[in-house]
Amino acid sequence: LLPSQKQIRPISFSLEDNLTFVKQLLGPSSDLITGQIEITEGQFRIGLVYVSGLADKDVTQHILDGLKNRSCELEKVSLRKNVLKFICNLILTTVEHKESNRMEQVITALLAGDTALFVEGADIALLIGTAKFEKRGIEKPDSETTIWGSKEGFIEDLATNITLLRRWLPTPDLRFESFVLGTISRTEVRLAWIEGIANPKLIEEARKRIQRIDIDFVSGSGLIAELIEDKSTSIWPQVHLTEQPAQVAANLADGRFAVLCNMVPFVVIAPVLFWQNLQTADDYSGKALQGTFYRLLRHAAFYLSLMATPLYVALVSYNQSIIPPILAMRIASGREGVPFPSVVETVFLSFIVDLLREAGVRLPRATGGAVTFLGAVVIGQAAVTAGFVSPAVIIVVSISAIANFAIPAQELAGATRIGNYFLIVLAATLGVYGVTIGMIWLLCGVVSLRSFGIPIFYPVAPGELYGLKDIFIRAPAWRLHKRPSLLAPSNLTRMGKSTVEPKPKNSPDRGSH
Amino acid sequence: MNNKIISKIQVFFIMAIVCSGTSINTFSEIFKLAGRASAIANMTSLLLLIPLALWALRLAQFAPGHTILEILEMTAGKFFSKVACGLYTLISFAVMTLTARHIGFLLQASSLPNTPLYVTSFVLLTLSTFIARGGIEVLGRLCEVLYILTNVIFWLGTFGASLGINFDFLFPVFDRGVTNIAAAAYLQAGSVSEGILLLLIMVAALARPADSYNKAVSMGILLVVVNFASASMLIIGVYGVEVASHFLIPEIQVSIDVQQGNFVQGLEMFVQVASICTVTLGVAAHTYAASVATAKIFNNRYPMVWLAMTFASVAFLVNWIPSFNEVVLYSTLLGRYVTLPFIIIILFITSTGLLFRGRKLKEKSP
Repeated sequence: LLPSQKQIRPISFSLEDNLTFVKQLLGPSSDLITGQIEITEGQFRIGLVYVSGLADKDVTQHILDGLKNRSCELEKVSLRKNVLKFICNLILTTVEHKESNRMEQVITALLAGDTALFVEGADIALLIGTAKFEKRGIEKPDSETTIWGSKEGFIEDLATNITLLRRWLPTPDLRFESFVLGTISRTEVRLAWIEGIANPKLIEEARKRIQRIDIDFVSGSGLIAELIEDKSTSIWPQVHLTEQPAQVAANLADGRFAVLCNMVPFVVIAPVLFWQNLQTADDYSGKALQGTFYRLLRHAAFYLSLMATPLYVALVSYNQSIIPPILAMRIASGREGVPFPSVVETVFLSFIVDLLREAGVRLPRATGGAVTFLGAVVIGQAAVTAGFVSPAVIIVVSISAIANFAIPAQELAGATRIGNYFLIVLAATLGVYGVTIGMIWLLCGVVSLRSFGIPIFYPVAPGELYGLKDIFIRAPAWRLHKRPSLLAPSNLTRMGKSTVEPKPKNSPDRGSH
Repeated sequence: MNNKIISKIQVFFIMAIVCSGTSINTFSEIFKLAGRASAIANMTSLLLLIPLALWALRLAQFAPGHTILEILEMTAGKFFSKVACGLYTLISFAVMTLTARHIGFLLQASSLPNTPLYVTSFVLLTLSTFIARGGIEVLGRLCEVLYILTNVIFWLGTFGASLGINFDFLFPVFDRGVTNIAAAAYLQAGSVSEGILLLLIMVAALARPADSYNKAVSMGILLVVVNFASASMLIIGVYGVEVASHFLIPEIQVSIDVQQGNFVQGLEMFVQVASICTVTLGVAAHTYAASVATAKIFNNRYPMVWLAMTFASVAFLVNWIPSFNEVVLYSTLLGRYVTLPFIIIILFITSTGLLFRGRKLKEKSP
């Protein structure tokens, strides 16, 4: 326990004691403001405490003015506890406030931006909601882009994020449950779900897992995700992090839950299915056929990103018979003079591509793209000219990298890169046999995973025919009239019958005249 | 390892994958016996296979959540059960060894001529054990995902050969005697019955086995047999019976010969991939079943130890078989004299026991 956590105690009747205790506990902090007002010529005193950078100065000034202006009326109040009631009813009519008799609650509230009001002779403090921080405006999310969808993104302020969600889901069934995680960070966390749609057992499990977290510092929603997911050692994503309120709202409406974390613009969505990582909000904004085409493209991108380079290594090193003779000769002539085996070339170039990508992410946006592009072109060209690598490897590694960029979910894109290296090693050792064994191994890892009890490969394995309408293809919206049965077993229907039949039967163009 | 309930579709795909097991080794023997009627012989084997599978499911209905070997213990006593478990484990070891050895030779013949056999078999067995560790549920899901993919890849690799079919090789269909065709059908049934061997254990993971899973199991077996019949027709149509009966790995030979222009060639890689998937899942299924049976002998204690022992035993046995001819010989012997008779005897003893002690068992079961 930290020294501050050992000194929990109730609020004293003495104002001096309380103020001294707060000062001692918070140390010689220049931003801790304490003040006293004397009523009835010093007969009783009122103390105010707040942290200057966290509390709204206008509100604290309003409280001080109110106390001064109404001091005559205050003099008439005989009991100390009635003073607090008087202040609540007449001065803090429009300001959020609550009472507390515990000092640790007062300290927590002060550090959250509230103002504490003590009255001499009363063992209760008034905690006044004066928190006001600087925050950035609602902007377009950097990590996720959408063409036809909403452009709003979450920000670092929890209250704003909750408001964004409420605007998407103005239903009384939307629930937010509060948690405070981190003994030092005291991070506010909210579990969100829609009552009546989400499976109560799922919510209970999520609640248990969040309550189980005992940690000193919460660095972000990614950490919470790792601490609550089923198998954190697996490379495959079991939860999804998003910056888009629209995506969170859609997932809540499907029966999932979300975990919002203060100070972080990313929201955790769970349970997540593997296929969700290859879907975007735009799939549902455009035409079904268009959505299907782009979804299939993303599926192809996933397999290419995972398998293009290992298959190249396997075919060049072991299974040359499948390569047409002319192509084989081209590859062979390109490799002429290259001192390394194809596996070394492939691993080296894949590593350089990953390095460039990482550099592009960390550099400022204005220069990042240029550095990545220049790096790729210059290093690629120079490597071929110098005879370090063959042109074929450049092509294959580039295809793999571009395909990786086409995977919408960063979690899956990252996992694919790791899987890619694993398969390259197997391909170099055992050719196509190694790639096949590696793929089965990775697949075994995915199919055995569960996200909060839901198999992440559902509805492919375990199979559900209805669910497949929205996996490899995107069926017309009116055909997707049911929610996934494993997510919302008690509330499957999401469309009325009138929506399910898109064309009226007695339409004039059917020849009623 | 667990015994969770698996779905009908998973049972269907598990049966379809596991029944393929050592049948690939007995292809040439069936060609020799049934000649052009090999496809007919394949289909005839259904007459034996489906009733046996339904029999096993019917017996499992008496004590849901239990394997047939456990039901045998309830009806015939511990001694019979332990002997049956021991034999079951040995047969599973043999099946695993022969299928793993098949893939080893296939790889040596097609793409890895210099890689020692112990390397390929070690990798295969490691993966199979890893899958088996996840239990029947993971196996079911993997079969669900991989079966269709495997079939598509297999037929992609071999379908091109259909352009070279010579119908004179296929007709007249009956060029051998009924006895020969029956013998071939029996051999095919014996090879495919590896699926039923697994079913004896898998029934524990089925809810109301006979009521709900009859169709799934029957369709799984039917699909395998139809696939084998189609492949037989294709191979005989392309090469004729005389040549086909001398191939050790006919499916690879067919795909090697597919060539269209300057671009389509080397399709044996597709067959190789399909075979690897099928064999891996088949070996994983038998590893699971063998470890369950072995654990049963020791009152279900230390299941992970038995899994490791299964891995070690098969890894040793695989390297013990020196030639592919012996793989074919042992597979034929296994199909003809061991697997099928063992299954029939187990089902018979269990049924007889049920007849005599059925009422008591009903009282015991939940």
